[in-house]
Amino acid sequence: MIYRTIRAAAAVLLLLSMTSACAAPSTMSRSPDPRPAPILPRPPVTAADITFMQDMVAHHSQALVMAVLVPARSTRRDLNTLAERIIASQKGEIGIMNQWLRDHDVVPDSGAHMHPGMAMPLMPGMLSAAQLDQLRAATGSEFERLFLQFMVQHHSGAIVMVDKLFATYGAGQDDFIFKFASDVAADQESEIARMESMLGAMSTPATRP
Amino acid sequence: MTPAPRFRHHLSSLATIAVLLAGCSSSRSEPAMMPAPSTGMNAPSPDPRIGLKAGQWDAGEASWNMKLTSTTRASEKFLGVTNSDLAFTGKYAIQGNYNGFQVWDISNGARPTLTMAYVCPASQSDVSVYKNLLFVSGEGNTGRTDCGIQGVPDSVSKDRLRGIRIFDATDMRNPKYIGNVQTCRGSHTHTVVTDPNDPANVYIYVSGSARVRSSSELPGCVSSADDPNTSLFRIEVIRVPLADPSKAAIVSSPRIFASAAGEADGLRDIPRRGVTAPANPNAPARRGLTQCHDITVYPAMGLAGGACEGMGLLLDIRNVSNPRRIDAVADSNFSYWHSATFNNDGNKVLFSDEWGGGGGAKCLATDRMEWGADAIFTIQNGKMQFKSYYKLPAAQTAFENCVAHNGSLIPVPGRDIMVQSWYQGGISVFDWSDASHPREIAFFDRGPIDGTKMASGGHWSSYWYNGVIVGSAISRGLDILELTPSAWLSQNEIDAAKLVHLDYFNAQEQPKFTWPAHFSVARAYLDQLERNKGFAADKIASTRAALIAAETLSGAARTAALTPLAAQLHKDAASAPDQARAHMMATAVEQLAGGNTMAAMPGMESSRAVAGGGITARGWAGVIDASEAAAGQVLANSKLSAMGNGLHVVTGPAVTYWNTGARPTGTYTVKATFNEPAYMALNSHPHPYGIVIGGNKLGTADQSYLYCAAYGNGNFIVRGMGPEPFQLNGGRGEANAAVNKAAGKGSPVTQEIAVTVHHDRVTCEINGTQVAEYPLASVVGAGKLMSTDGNYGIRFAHNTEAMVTGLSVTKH
Repeated sequence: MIYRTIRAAAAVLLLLSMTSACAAPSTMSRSPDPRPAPILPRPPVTAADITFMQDMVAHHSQALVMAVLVPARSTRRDLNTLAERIIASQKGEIGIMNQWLRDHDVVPDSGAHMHPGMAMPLMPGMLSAAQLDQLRAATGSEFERLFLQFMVQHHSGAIVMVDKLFATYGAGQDDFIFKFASDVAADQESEIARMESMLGAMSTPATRP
Repeated sequence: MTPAPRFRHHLSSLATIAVLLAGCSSSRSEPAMMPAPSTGMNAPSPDPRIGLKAGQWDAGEASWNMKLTSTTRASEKFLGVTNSDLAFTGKYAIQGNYNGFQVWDISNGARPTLTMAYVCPASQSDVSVYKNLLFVSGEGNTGRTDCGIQGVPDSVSKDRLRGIRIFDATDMRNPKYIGNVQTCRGSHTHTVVTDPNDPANVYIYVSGSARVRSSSELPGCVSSADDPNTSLFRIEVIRVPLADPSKAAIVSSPRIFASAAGEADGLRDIPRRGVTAPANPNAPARRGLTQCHDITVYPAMGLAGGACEGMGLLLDIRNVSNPRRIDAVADSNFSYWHSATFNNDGNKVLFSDEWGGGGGAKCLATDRMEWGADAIFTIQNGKMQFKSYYKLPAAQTAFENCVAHNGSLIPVPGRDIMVQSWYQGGISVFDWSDASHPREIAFFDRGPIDGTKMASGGHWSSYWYNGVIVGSAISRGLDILELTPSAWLSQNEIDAAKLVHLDYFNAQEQPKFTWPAHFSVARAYLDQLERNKGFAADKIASTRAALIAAETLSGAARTAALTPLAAQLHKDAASAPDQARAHMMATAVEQLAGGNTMAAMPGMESSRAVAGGGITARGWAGVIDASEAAAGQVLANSKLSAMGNGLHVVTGPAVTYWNTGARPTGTYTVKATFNEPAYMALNSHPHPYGIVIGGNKLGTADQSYLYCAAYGNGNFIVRGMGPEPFQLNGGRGEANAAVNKAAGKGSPVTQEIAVTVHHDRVTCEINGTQVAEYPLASVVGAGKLMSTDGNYGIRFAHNTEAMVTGLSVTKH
């Protein structure tokens, strides 16, 4: 019994030495150097938080489908810049969400959710299959106007999703989820303002009564 | 197998491990992986930030022109939880954390110690200080009014705290939670604002970027943008009465986005850089920006920079509770306007773009350099003009969250230099003196926290505070770093930056830096003139030699050497390639020439000899300044006499008079009223007079004392001898609205001046208003006061006359 205890203590010490602040010699094979776990209990992650992340992956994926249409259909520099950044932003956030889902033992894109371009199910604000087809078929200034209108519609849906999350009992208590969801809402809101401003600039008085 | 050998085997393993562990702990403060610093004109190539080893505690490190002094882990209940922003007061750094806040004593930068850790969860726990008060931002849904850790699962709850928490931190080891102010969007960040015309209160601008609360949770909150009472399109202004901070409340909700016509949502048609088409008045209704992320105020300039999600705003804050928008800019490359920093002159402003909110890897090699960057603007006639972008020049991996984040100015005279955090991109120090061509001059970086996936971390903020750079490391704790001299920043420039002492610092409340008369300041300018070839090389060399010679002199001999030098330098500056900087250098020399006299004002003037001088008031003694004595002046050239129940003083040489009777000890106030019958009648520039306390060994070579004195032009100065002069608020003091101003030369002016010694600090009150406060530790010690116990008295600059009445000592 005593030997077993000592062996356990040695194992613990060995582990400690491997994860301590100083660098182990690089030749020594060793376990990773993990982030310390908080010792105070944190409010739990709920099913609503997980569903929100899964749904938002699906939602963001459609923005990519839309944005990749831009270079071939518009020569407007500001629109191409916008599309390029939407791709960079939403791709990055999809990566963060998938990582978070894996960290919480949820398999991302598990089949219960759509893949980019799939028609169903639709999250708030997402384009219907018909709307997507309409966008793909459009060209020139018609495409530019439609793209902005549809992306405003799309982004507005993300804000609806965030508001729904925060209205759910127990949801959004996790610091990461709160910050991520708040950032999504704030970013999409400010991008909507930008797109509406671009839309305003491209409307001509002739198109209005 | 028998038990014995196994037992021995394990014991020997334990011993080996113990040795390993001991080795680790002793080497912690000397990171073995840091390459030798490169000090050349060019940044090291290849960039050592690329390819650093990953690790939570043993990540690879790279630095250039700066070095890590210490890394201190967050304390037990905070480790593993996000560390956020920093504020500073005295020897303390206060570090926010999503679990509350920690207070560090950073008087020894190599070994910060934890003064206290306060558990009170809130995101983001942005912190600010003002006098004895500590303010903490709460925005997340988890924050509770009772500081509980259990969260608030109900979407509507009376237990939820979203707003500002207020603590009384008179005893920093034991802060007391004295109240809070709830706001409709919570407080993502906040900004302490002082109103020079309202010393009884301090103000807080609250920025909230999260969703609006339900009116069932906080009555009056309105989330609909179309409702005229919407909680969007505004900031909140909280007034905190210093006499009773628990009575803090919202006093206004300025609609800083409003149009001239009064629409709250008034910022929809600001031309955006990169978008050429003009706005169309017939366009469909749309929405502009709704809220600010952060506001940086610069009270000395009456300005604020509002980083308001989709735009950058310039605000006039002279009416503190009603800030007024003077300009707004938008930029197609900017995603999320995050924070603002002014340069010291207030004619430039830098906005950062926290593209992606800080959780994303936005410094990839494929990300554009104008995205997630800083944008630098000049300010002319209240208009901002875009000049350039600055982005961390080293690409980071996909596992490192990286984007422009919090930083502050480094007070190098004559240059705009800033230190800034880029999360896991590390810390970058850059020069933006040339607004069109910012340039990195130093950096510190670590490898990713995790080399297999994205794990949030890096530096939330890094700020310069009294000589060091303090970094808040999100997943680690507190880093302290120092600048090292290089071709881009000389030792003299670093020394000059270290001369600027702040009693407290909130990065969102920018102080105006002033530099005392010091050889390092003149030498810093000389180094800059050499670097930019702004002054003839032979003149730089001869000036350096002259300064070395002058430094060996003292008193009048130094003044005699430096006065003609300054005059000659001003003359030479007129034909220098960099005239402005050459004049700044000449002025620094000029101030050195006057630096040994009390006035330290440009324009020399010799002290008179007052007829019938000497001390005739009973119970008083005096000593003139060493510099005056060196110039041949004597005590009898100034005059102190009794007049009615008061004293009458006419100087001659700058002099300190003290009462030879009771020596106050402990906590006390010394107070008197000074009446200058004819301002500036005996001199060409304003001269101060005031109250002396803590006099010890007066009249000897070891004397020490402290005084607070007022000028008739609205300035005051706090200074002492220990036995060399030491300054607490700059060589020429600072302006304060409480100090009376003479109507003009020859007009009378009266000041009531008091100095109070408290158990932990010394304060100066002028005309009933506290104008200055210093922790005891900053006025007592080597080179300063021997003690605050000691003689009291009065202090006069040269060539000044005043009546002193009501001189009293009150023990507390």
